[in-house]
Amino acid sequence: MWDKIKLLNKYELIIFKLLNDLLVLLTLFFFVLVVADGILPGIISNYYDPATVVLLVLANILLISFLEKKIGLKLEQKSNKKTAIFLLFVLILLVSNTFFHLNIWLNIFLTLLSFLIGYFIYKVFSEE
Amino acid sequence: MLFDLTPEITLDKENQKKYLYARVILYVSALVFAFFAAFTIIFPTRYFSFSFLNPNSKSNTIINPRDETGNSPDRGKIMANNKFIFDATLLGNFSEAKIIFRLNKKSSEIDGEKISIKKSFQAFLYPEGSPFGFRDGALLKNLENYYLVSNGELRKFKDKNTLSLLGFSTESFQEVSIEDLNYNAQGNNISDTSTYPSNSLFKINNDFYILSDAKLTKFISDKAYLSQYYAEQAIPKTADFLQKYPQDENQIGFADGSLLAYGESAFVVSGNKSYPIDSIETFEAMGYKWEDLITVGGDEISFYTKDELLDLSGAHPDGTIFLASDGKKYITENKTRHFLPTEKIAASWSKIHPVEVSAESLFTLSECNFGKKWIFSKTYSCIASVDNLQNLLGKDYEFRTTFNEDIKADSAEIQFKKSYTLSNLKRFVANVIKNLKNSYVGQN
Repeated sequence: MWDKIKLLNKYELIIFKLLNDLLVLLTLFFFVLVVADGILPGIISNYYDPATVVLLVLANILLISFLEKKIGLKLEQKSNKKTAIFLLFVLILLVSNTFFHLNIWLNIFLTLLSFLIGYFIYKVFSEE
Repeated sequence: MLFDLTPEITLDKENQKKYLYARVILYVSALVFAFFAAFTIIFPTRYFSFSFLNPNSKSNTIINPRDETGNSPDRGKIMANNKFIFDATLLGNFSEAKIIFRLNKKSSEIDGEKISIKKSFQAFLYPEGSPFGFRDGALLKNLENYYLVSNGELRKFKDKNTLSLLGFSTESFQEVSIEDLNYNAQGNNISDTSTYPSNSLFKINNDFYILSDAKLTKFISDKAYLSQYYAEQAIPKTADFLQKYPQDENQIGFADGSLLAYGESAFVVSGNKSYPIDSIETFEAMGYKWEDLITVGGDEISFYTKDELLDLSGAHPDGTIFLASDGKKYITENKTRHFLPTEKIAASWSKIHPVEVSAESLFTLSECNFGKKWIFSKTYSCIASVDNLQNLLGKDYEFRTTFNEDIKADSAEIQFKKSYTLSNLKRFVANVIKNLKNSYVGQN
């Protein structure tokens, strides 16, 4: 047990960095799953449960935050505007795709409404 | 370092090297997993199982293990020299099937017995019964002879005068050949003009009725009547005719096997039961045609008792008509398949498109012999190539075997595998393109 802890201490920086790499890979897999299933429902989710991928991502994030605290790292919170805009664009496409069979104006209205609701929910949660 | 996601954390030279190795391993593993995932999606293996110890479990995916009389084996006890049958529903093309039986420790051995596999629809593989003649109520004509099909029998009108006195119009009789008439038993001639023969049809006050057991039974709607008969077959009568015969409190619905649309839901009806179809995929996989859906109102659908959801693993209910690739038509009734010997007989039973099936499904088999996994094992399995069944229409595989001794099975499993061939890859791509077209361009 003691050896294991020592080993963890010795390699905690490497493990931390690897967990970040793993997070990117898992997020990429989740992204592919969501986009592919958004276009053709069931094409991946019939074989791989999206909930499992979400749980893996969450477990990974928890481990990263645990290690971050343990090591005492204070990483700068960066936001990548370009990535955020790209993801928002994909999200708009996915939401609008779910209303594909509806009238185009109704589709646009429902997509805007969904984002408006999402925005207000975000505001509620981010209020201090 | 390239793509360093945490550049703030700097490692010493030794650790940097270790991190690099670990990172390469991580990314290569992810790549291998991505290929593995793609392979399992493109060339999937499908598993089906049945626990005889827990036969009512929802996780049982093998359908209806039974003997030839339809009885389920009691706690996995399968009698010697009795046919043992079970089904599995599977869409897509698969190359081989592995069938596994796990026997109870006290069970006798399986001695290399053979298991055969057929592919079609469960209902089309029902045992064949006697051929059917015309439906009750059919009005038929051959040269100058006029007939009514009454309680399954062909009853000839004594003469044209009897026919007109009863109110039948000669135009409403369908011209048929002598051969067509051979499949209904001969009944007594109709000579009495004071009473109507059973299964006569009437139109009274815009409602349709059929005379059965000396009672007038009303059809729930014009659409229900027209799903079984033609308007001109009904003798027009006034309201006072209702005093002549007692009215049956029961009513008659749509022809068995009819497809009804109510709101957003589709149902197949049979007897007084309606089976809601669970998805578009099931509707299409069952071989139904969208143009056969009859839009009905709440009063019509409420006539039926809602039965269990018809999902992909379901069987076609009674009254379904199958059209085999050799042109022969069949109808199902009481888990038996009946041949409809002529086109006109078939037309009297249903006005919707028949479900298309492959005639070869009845005799094309794939087989394998059970073998032991290892000498003391109670697990027996065999692998059969099902490539020869791929082009047959239908969603169900039927497995049949006969054991030489009584055996006691704990569970059964089936694994369907797709072989790694270019043609299977092409089929996968074609299927994805077809689904994309169906979703975004419209139904083809």
